[in-house]
Amino acid sequence: MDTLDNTEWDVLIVGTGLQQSLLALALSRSGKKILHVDKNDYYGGAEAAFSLQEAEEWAKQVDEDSSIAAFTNISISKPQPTETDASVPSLSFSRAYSLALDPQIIYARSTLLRFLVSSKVYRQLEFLAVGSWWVYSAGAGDSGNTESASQPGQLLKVPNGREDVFQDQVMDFKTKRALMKFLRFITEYEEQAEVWEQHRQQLFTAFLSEQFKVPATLQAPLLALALGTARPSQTTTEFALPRIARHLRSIGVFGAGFGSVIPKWGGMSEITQVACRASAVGGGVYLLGKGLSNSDDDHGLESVIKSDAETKSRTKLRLETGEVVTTQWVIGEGVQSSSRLSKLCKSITIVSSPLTPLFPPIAEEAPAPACAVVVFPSGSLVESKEQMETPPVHIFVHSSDTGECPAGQSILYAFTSLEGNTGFQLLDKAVQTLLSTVEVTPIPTTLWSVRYVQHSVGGSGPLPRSANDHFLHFPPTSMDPAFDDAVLGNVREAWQKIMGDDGGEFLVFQDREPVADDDE
Amino acid sequence: MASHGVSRVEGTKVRSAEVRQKELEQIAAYKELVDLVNTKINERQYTIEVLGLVTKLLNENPEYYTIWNHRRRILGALLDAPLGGDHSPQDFHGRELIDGELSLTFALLRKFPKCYWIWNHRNWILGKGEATFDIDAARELWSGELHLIGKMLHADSRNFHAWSYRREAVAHLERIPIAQPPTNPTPSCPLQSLAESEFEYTTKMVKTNLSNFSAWHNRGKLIPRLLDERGADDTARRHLLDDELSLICEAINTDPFDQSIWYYHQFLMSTLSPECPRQNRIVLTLSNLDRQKYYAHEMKYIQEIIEDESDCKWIYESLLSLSISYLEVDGSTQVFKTADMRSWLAHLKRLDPLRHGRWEELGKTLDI
Repeated sequence: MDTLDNTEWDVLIVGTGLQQSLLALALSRSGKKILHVDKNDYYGGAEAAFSLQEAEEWAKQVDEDSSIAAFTNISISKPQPTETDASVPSLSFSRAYSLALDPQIIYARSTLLRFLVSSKVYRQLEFLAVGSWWVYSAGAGDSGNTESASQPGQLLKVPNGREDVFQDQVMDFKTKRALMKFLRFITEYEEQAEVWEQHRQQLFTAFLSEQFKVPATLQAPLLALALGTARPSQTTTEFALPRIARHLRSIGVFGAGFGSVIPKWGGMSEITQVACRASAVGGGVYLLGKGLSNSDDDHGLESVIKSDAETKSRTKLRLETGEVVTTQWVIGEGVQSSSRLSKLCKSITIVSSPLTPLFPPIAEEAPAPACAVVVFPSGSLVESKEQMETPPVHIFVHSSDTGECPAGQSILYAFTSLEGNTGFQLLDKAVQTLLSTVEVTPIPTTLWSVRYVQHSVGGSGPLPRSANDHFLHFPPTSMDPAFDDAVLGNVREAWQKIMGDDGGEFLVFQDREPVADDDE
Repeated sequence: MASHGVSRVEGTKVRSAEVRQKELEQIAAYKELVDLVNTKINERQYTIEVLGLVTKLLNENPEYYTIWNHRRRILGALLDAPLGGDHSPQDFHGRELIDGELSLTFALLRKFPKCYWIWNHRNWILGKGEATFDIDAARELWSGELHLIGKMLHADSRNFHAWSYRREAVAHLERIPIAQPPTNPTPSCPLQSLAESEFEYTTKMVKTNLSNFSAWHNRGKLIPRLLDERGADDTARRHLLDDELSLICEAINTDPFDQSIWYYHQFLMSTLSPECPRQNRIVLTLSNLDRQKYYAHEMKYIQEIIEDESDCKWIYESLLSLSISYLEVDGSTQVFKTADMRSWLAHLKRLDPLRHGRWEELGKTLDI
């Protein structure tokens, strides 16, 4: 089509982030006329994946428009290689990389996976196992005590269950008993409400030591399993218990020794692309590089028009390009008051080594892991004990099996809720500490890195506010390191409003063409 | 009935009239097939065609053991029947039959991994195969078996059929000499013991899953033999016993609620007893003083666990059992008192009220 001006649609979806794309997928068999736009010229919004060049353009572009941006303070650094050592990998060409803005892990029992199967798009996706979880333990040897021998820090594997605890050489008997007692409790904690109900609001660390005599040394690994970005002093029992239970219960669901997966090729972006593709096949029209006009006076000629044939309310909206479209439904991200926004300091680092020690085999005949989780607990990176309590730093390490970088390299996705420059410094420290602690020779170097602040708004700009109940707003992304099933709840809610009673089952489709099922 | 946490699909469902009709037809067809097979067998028609009928029947009901017996009659006849003077086509035909049987039982075992009759038949086939082929082929058959058993144990590591069969396969491999190359006129040791590798295998299995009765059991059976084969002297034997005790105590500490771990501990303790027969013993030169030390050490270790797990019945049961063994060696011990034993018994009664009678009886026998 040459122009969109004066076209009519049933649904206008603004932004191709995960929530919007899943909605497009859900609507892909409905026969509705869908126009799906994104002001960016790439798919995925805040969940996109970039080549090096795309990342560089992204960095420039967003910097110019930081009022309601999802990403701010972006800076890229490319260290100059000091020597040309042919055996050490150097930065490869731009398209050899697919850097994920959203490298979330997906737990095995997540409804997302079930819906990807029932909607049949799973065939276009590949998932890889998340393997070992590591906790960094700072060595002894403070600046204050010159007499104790300085011990280097080490990465300790987090036990996944009884057999891991059994084989551990570091914990003493009593510590193992305490840990096992807690692990036995957590596998059915819902049925033992008397143990924890009254302590819901209590700090999780206090709960551990009071109810289970778990020593301080074990608190960090258990907190790590909760995968939360808040400081320990802000982590309640109520928050931690279900998340740790989810982690432990997921192990073994897809295979021995692991409990979560990541999509191949660049995090959640692959899912957004597959979802949009399915929507396009179903007739949806896609336009990148075109968003809604955001001039205040007429962002949308938001006039409600009753069409002659039916009394369906319709809205007129103006795109950035000046074209005017009419649609029954509009859906996009909502504007958030700044008090409700949360932020994370994040960095993506390309490293000149496969960091093999972080990826030991999971179990016999289990898939090779492509992601390792490294947690730097609160306080493990700071020198002086007098500094204020810092939040943890998490690093998701992706191997080249993900397709996100060439063989021989790996990608570090680091994030922390510590704000400002100190947040960036903490991330740097974590990355450097990880690279110097992993036993790899030669010491791996950074080939390229980007750092940025992510805000919990979507990546495609918010919808204008409106009293019109045909304007649907997705809540902000939660920036949870693990995929939050609530996202699907939001998508379903929106789908329900649009489809009413005519929708059939949510995200349950038949194959469009008969497919020879290789598994049978 | 659930097996190791995997529940079998229960039979009673509400059935529609069509489904019921279909089932009646299936039952009639099945009965017809049974009658046909039985008739043919009675008439001694041991042919390939009847073998096919038997295969069909067994695919539906591998538990019908008489039919397996019939099958073996047919196979025996087919394998032994002379095919004229030339020997080789017979061998080939025999190999085909044997391989066919191995495939059939393999496929059936995937659906029914615990059916005795399938395992039995496979065993018979291998014996028949060994009798028919040369040594290398025979070893190959049994090596293949060991490999298969490894896969089955990987799928369900606590299938005791598979473990029992593993011991058989190992015994066969140990019995069949390794074919020596023609250039080696005096074979030094054509027979190979697999005790070491089997021992390591049990280590691997318990590390994967501590609750593996069968793996612990197999380990226990291997140890005395292992020590004999190593020509272990007294020091080496004590060393191994200490290592085993360390291992199992580590396991008890990790999960005192797991019965299989306690069973192995009990087994190790039983090797200390003066009544233990020679072939089950680990250390051969135990004095009563040695025994006391072991019992006392174990009791002390186990008592520490009570600090954190005061409601585990196995702990008290074990303490009582150890104290009884101790008393048999030395009636006048200072390590524990009658009051202690009374207290452990009281805990047992509290934690295991279903066996109240047994604990009462025990109390009377011990006179505490």
